[in-house]
Amino acid sequence: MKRFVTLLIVLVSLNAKAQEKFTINGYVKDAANGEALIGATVLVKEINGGNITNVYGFYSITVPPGDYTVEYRYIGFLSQTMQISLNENQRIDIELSEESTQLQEIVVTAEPEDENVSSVEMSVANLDIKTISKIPSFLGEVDVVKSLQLLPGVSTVGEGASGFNVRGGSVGQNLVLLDEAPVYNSSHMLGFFSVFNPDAVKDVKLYKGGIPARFGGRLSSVLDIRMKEGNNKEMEINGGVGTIFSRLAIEGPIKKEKASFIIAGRRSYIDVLARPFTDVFDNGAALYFYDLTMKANYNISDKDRVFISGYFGRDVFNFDDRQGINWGSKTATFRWNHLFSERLFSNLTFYLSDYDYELAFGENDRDKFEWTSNITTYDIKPEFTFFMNTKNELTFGAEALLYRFSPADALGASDGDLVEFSIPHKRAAEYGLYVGNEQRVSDKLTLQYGTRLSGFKHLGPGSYYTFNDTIPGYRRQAVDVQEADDWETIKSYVNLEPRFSAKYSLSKTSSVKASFNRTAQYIHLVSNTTASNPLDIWTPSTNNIKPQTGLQWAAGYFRNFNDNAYEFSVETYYRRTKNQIDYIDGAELFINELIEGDVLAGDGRAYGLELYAKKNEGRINGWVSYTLGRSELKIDGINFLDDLENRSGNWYPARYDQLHNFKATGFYELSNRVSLSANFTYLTGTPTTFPTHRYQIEYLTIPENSANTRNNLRIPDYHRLDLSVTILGRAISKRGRVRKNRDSWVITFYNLYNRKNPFSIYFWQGDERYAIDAVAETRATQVSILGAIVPSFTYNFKF
Amino acid sequence: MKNLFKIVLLSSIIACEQDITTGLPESAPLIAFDAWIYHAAEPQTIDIYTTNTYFDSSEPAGITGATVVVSNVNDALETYTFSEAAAGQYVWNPTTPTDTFATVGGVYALNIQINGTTYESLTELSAVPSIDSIYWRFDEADAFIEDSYFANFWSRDLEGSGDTYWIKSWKNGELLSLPSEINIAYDAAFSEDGDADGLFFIQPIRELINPFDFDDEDVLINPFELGDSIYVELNSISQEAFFFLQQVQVQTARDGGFGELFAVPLANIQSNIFPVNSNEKVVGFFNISAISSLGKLFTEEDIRIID
Repeated sequence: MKRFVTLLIVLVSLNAKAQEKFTINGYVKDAANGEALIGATVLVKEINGGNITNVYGFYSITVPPGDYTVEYRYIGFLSQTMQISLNENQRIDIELSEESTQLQEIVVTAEPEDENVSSVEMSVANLDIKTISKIPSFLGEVDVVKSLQLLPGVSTVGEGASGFNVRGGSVGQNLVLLDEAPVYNSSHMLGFFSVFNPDAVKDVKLYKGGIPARFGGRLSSVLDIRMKEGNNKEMEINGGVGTIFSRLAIEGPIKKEKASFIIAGRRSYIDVLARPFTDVFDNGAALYFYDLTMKANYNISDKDRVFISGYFGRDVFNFDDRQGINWGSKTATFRWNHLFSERLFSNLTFYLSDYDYELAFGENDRDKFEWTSNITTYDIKPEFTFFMNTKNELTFGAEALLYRFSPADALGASDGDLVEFSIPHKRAAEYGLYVGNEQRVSDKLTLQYGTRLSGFKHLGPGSYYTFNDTIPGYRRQAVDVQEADDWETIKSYVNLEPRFSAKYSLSKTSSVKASFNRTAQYIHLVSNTTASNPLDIWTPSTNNIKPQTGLQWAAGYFRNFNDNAYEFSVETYYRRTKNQIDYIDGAELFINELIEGDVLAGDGRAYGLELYAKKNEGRINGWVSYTLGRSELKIDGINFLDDLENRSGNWYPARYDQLHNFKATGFYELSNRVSLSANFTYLTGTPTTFPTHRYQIEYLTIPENSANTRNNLRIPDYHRLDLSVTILGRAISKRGRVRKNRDSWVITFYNLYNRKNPFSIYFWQGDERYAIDAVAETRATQVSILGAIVPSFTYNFKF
Repeated sequence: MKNLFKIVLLSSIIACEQDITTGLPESAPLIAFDAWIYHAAEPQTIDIYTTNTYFDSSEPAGITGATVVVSNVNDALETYTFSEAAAGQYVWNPTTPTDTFATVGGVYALNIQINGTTYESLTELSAVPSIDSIYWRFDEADAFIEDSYFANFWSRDLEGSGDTYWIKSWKNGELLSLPSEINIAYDAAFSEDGDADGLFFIQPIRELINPFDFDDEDVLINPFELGDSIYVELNSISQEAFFFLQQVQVQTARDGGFGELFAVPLANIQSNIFPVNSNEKVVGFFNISAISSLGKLFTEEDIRIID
């Protein structure tokens, strides 16, 4: 890699001399706090071209010598224009100031005005943290992941379910990155809150399609969350006191303009508040979660900057001081930005990510059961951006990951006899090499193309099994077992993942875009429950489980009206996937060394149409989004209907298949200080399997689906309206001075019209006891995870 | 197993449930067999009928005119013929008061003929350990429970891994028959991976013989008061029957509420009875259990302090 970089530098310098061109480069930052501005436009008027700042705020433009007018733009900020006489390379770091407060309140996006039309990016959902913080949320807690669900193509199977679904993909097919480290479970309290502290988040971007070559490892989407760097000008404290938890974030300079930090923490306190009213918590019972997000950065020189960031969070759910469940994630990211030259930007990332859970049961030490499970990942990732010329921006890099899976380390005791029954750990390595180019072919046509070469190795030490073949849907038995040495390759896979996007401008306010990408996923989220939950485990591809692969095509039309006051887009997508995982009936997914014998694999397809319209300005603004979508699976051994001989699968709707997905979000400013926000959600009920018949063994009535269908009916549709009122504290004190300390009150009503939205329907024989051979009364019961309106109250402050 | 009812309590905080009426998809009924019989000197019954639709709680229609025979595959002389006592009800009657059905250690074939179609199954009758004693453990009241006495049965799994059992219990003569009260063991623990060969049954299994009933405030009602009686039966079951019951438990013991977040989708449970010459799908199960049992009246001497 080093030699490759040297070669490139040589090429770059040769190139520069040969064509006699010079480079303007630098960083664009927020004048108020020194935060890098991601996606700011740097426009050289004379050539009507330029650059967009990257995730570190860096830009680089190479042009022939001459006099230029360079404009720096970022929405919500005052533009700056500079006159430059270019006869040598110039470094220009610029700071933009926010527009006045009143103007700022009507801005709901941080994109340049026509970014949605002019950028080659498509299938991207972008929300800035200011918008996110205005959306009414469950218990008033600003939620990054829940907010994304208001955009087209994103949904969830219901309250309390962990994670989210993108374009008909499963929860485990999303790559969720916090400062580049993957977060394996992005939820607190099962699925009620996401783990990302809004006070520490700077930028949120969800790639639903057209995924750039630098991302890999998951099939359906990438959620790229970037943390704030921390105010490098002055100390700032943000916080909030809410109904269920409180937040506090402190940020400030370590060395003014050179180094800064941010520490943000949250803790729920329902247990603390409830303690006086109940003795539930007296014997050690607990119900809480907390998280801590930290980051620091240091500008070593004009060419070097380092960042270190981390997340640590945990949910604790204890029944008493000996028994309970807890789970949580840890991530640590170290990054080093280095400028090899004016035109070659590099970043080296090293991260560690860990997710684990722990269960403990048992009244005493003689009789107990303890179980821990975790996944640990290490990754090293050099990335380069070469700003070749105003037409081409080349990115390339590599990545090497090491995984350790420990599905279950368990210990049991029965009347003092100890039994250990752990599943052997698994080790695996994944790597990626990629190159991509964004090319402005003409004023109208921009292409983004590239490819990623990814590979995976399931490594020793450990036993690996060969399973027999059976009729699909029955448990496969291990027929042979072999031992692998330390670091011995048990099985390896390689995939080429081409990525392509194109934009063609029809006019200044409209464009068409198309994209294609292939993705491969080597680790799998094993989940057989109605909704994804914290106890789901990740498992690697092995000699028996193949990597999942997907192909997605998308096309769209983008149009802005009234000087970008209104945005409109329509996109359509189609995705085919292979080696989608499902399970045999009666699969044993926990503490099962032979889990591979219970796994089935098959094909998936998802397709849909996404409509999006947004009003950016005025006292009433907001957006509506609608998705018409299908997501289906075809797996031998499932939904085989009357093919009892071969059990060949027929297409069936995935658990997260939702034909209609309609969301509307609106903001209304009643006055300078009072604003209303509302959002409405409508989702087609998710499919589920109903029984057709019953039979009895002894006193047990057993349901049977005699037609062998999967997800043959749907639960009723889901709809909900949320409303919130935000009252800003006075900006001017009674003495007429501008207050430095700002605060606001937020009153939220979640599920305003008190609907009992169905989460699932289950079939059972009720809770009466029957004698042997008596015939039971069977029934169907509908469960609503939230069966009522949930009001809440939050106080936010900043000083 | 305190944790179980605490989960129930926590789930009731917000989640809510309602019974609904819903249509079911139309599909053809199946032949069902209830061939769950015992190693005992008593009449044994095998029921054969056509399945009702799921919400139909009437007696299902018995299938008449079948021939039903259970025989030891290693001993041609040991054959048990079941004769039709009522529509779809086939009974073997002992000929003498000590005439016991089947022999421990024997492998038995079930052969059923209905209108020219033959259905078959195999099972092995395994031994069962005796129940040594029953004690009660006292647990002080807290927010989740009243002052409670939990019955514990003490019995050791037989030597050799792979023994499987179904434990049933009766309180004051009433069978604890809720799906959530299915109490099965693989050796002395919950599953094959428990690696608990030859141990005392682990504590949760020892205590699942208690009724876990809750009052209106979701507080566990004391399972046993002095003077109550308990009767515990340990049944040996085949490994296939263990996996069958494990799935029955998953499919029928529904916690509701937040438990639904962890529920697996409805799935069919594989029968161990197959037609000989076709792929016809049938439901039901064939198993022969040996029984050991112990009953006890709860007195103060039966309270054991466990630290």
